[in-house]
Amino acid sequence: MNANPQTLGPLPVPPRPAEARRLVVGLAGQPNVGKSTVFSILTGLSAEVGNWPGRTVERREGSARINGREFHVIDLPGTYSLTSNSEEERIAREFILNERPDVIVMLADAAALERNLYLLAELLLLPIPVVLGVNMVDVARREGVEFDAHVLEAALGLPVVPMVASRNEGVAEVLAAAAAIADGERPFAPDRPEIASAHREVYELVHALVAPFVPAGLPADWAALKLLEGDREVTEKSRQWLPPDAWASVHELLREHEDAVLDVAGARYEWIGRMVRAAVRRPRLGQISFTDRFDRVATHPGWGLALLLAVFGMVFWLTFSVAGPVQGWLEETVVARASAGLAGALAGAPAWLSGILVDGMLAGAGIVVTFVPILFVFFLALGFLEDTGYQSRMAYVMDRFMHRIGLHGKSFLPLFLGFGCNVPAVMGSRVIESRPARLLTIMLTPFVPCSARLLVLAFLVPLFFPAFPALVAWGLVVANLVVLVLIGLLLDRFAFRRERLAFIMEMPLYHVPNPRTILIFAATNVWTFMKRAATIIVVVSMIIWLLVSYPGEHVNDSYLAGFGRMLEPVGALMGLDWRLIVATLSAFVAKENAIAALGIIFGTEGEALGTTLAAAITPAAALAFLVVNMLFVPCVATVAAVRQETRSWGWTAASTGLMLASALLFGTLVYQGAVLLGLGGAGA
Amino acid sequence: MLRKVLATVAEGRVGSTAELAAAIDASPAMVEVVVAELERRGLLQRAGECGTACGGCPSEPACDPRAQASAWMLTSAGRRYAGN
Repeated sequence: MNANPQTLGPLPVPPRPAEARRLVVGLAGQPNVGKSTVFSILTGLSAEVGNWPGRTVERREGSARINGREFHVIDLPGTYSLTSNSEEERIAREFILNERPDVIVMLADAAALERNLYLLAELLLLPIPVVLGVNMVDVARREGVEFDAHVLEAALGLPVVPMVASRNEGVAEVLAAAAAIADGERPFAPDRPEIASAHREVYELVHALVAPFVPAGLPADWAALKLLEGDREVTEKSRQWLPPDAWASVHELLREHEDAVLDVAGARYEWIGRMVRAAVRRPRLGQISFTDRFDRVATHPGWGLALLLAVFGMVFWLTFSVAGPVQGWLEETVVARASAGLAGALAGAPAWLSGILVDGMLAGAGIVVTFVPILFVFFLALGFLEDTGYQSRMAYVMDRFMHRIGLHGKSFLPLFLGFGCNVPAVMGSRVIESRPARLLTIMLTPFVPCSARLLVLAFLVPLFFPAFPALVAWGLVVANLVVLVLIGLLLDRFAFRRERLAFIMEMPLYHVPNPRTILIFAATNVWTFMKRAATIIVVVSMIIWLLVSYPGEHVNDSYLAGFGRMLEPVGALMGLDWRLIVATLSAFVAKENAIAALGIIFGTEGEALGTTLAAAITPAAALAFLVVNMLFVPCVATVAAVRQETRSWGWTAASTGLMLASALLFGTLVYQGAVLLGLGGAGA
Repeated sequence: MLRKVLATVAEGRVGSTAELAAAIDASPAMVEVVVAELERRGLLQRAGECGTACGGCPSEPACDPRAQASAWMLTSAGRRYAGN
């Protein structure tokens, strides 16, 4: 870092006449630093509001009188920097360069000096003296941030005034400091950031080329830095200012050194870091220490993975042990009674009407109702993990684990984002440069068990395996992870050839979860799920009822049975009869439909669905059914995302085909293995 | 500072912003600001955006990847600059 005082040459402060003339003050700062409050306190009723000439951005100005001295204050638009990225930034810098206020008062948020001082670093390059008002010091103090105004003042070389504008503390003082600077009564010898050494020479060359042609009043060093930064406006204007041969040389230099921006902006951040290190104290809070300590376990490649698997197991155990009984109660009382009541009310109605309403619509709606406890407990657990800060460690842990076993995880960030949803995972794969590797990653992303699939798993597993649901669900998730690791291994060896995907993750501090936040999270999610899933489940339920009720008397003679039987030769490999096959196929529209389809096809006749299924399906077939449903074609949105990212129907079909083939392969392997282990007998 | 962050990320030695802060001897607050700057300049790209594609999914609010993990990856310009 090079940030020597006066490196760009001291800016001359014009001599002031003895009489106290009115001073023009520009009020600058990033958004949300309390600029409006300070402006209102200073100008009161004198404030006038208009627009900046030729712009739609509001211009506010007014008069202030402090200690008998009059000030004209102009409130500049809130900006993060003075690069021509936005209208506000252009207005702020044009005002400073063209209207030349006597002083700039820049406000900063005491708790976020790292963010706020970037604007100061840019202001110091312009030929106007600056006073820094550090606002909201009370809020910063409450957050444990202490800053020493004297140290900061000495380090920056300009007046620094601590403020609490909301209590009118420091407001008059900041204007008094502005007057002292403008009158030359206080020194203004700022330490300015300078371009880093890597491009210092290039800067000198550009400076030498532009200096003779920059319009009077515009600092040539500022123009040269802005050119190296790639500032669009300065670049365009330079083309007009410079003669063609000088512009051609500048243009060539800029083209060759397009990365110079890193050394211009980077040096400013080095400068900020130095200032903040000197003047700001951020005590290590207990939470940070706890986070560090806990992360030694939670993000450890081995222990972290063990913890992750334990957390998965705990979520399922909690879901089943708390929600299971409530779900059973709902099924046996609310749903069964509603069904009996509706059937009684429709006793005189035609059989088809009674059937479609009671066994189709109500059965579907009943399934939705019995979803509620499972969903609620599942989302409570997820909300807890998110609110404590643990959830963001999951992808990180898997990445560390991959590193530990020799994989470099080129595809694993996109893959593991898929734990939430496959769609962003597919889209995330666009960071992979090589097209074959990217396509392969897209193809494999839908293998990640998304939260919708985990939910279906949470609902189905206790129906098939009521004795030890948590163990089975956990085992299926672990098996899915093993499949992913194998996929990663293949990708790493054959597609990426051990390339790395460089990334960083931000992990929040751990903190005590807020029960209210978690409850709201769970309730909102359950409600959204119900709204979105209920309609499709009820409609699909009615369609399935029609297809299993016609044309024959018995379900085995139905259209659906006929269709399902055509696929039975394939299903037989996995122990799936036509009923389980069509339940699986119905999940193509939405994963949750598999549950409703099972309810209608198996027709519980007063018994709980779990009891009926346990009697009709062997454990081996149930296990194969769950595996097939975990690996089966992903949801429509994921298929659409695959199409969007690959821009090819062929690759989209290939992705869908791969999932289907995997479901068949693993379903068959699991079923045949389970039969060999003696799980092919009746009753799960 | 920006160059140091890009180079450190590109080397793959760090996986989290906390590790990055330690590696370049900067405060976590400083790293946060610098990462935002690199993202603004198109040298880092936030991972896990799904646009409107998740809009119809019943599980959408629960699986916002940004809530699960904020992650940034080098863009092609970022990789190019990091290599310089």
